[in-house]
Amino acid sequence: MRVYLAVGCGAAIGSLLRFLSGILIVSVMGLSALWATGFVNVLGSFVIGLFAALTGPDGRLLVNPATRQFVMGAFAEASPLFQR
Amino acid sequence: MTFEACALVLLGGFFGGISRFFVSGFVGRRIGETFPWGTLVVNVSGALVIGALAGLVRSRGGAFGGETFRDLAFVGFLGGYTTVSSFSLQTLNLALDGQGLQAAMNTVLSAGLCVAAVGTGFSAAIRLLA
Repeated sequence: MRVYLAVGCGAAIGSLLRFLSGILIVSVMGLSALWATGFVNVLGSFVIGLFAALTGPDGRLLVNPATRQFVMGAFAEASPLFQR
Repeated sequence: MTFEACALVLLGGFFGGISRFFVSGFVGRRIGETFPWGTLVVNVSGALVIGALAGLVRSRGGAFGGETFRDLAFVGFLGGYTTVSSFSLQTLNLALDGQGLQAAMNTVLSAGLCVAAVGTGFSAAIRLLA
């Protein structure tokens, strides 16, 4: 139950970050929505890789499973198939 | 960008993320977790649904064509449901485990099936709603 909540909250925040990045890239910078999707997916993949390495068995950070799900949930979200 | 839009995206993302966690966990437990079938099923089903919703918007418009529906369903829910970063991390893990062929297969299957699914969803919706 706690893990589901952590995933949901992480996903909600990740979705919002993606939405705001889209506004920044499309409305403010004037680039195509394809750039917004590409940027967010590449950045999300970078962050999830970084986080996985840091919190892995021989990583530098020790986090509990709920925290891990929260962060993974958030950045797993930075990855839409569609961006306005 | 309004407060309302942000709230809709947060709400959709919350339920999208929980749905993803549920579906990928369910598939993983059923089929096994050596190959990331869970994430594949999530992304392909998300592509099918987004295609169908795009078809719905195209043929019906109205409330479906508005910002409220877009922010809640497309940006929030489906953005929270589908995942590129989980796909890429799982592909990396396959490669690190020496499963290069499986890593390549995951990449080709994910991209190919998602594009096929979005087209299928779109044309199915257009035909059904015509």
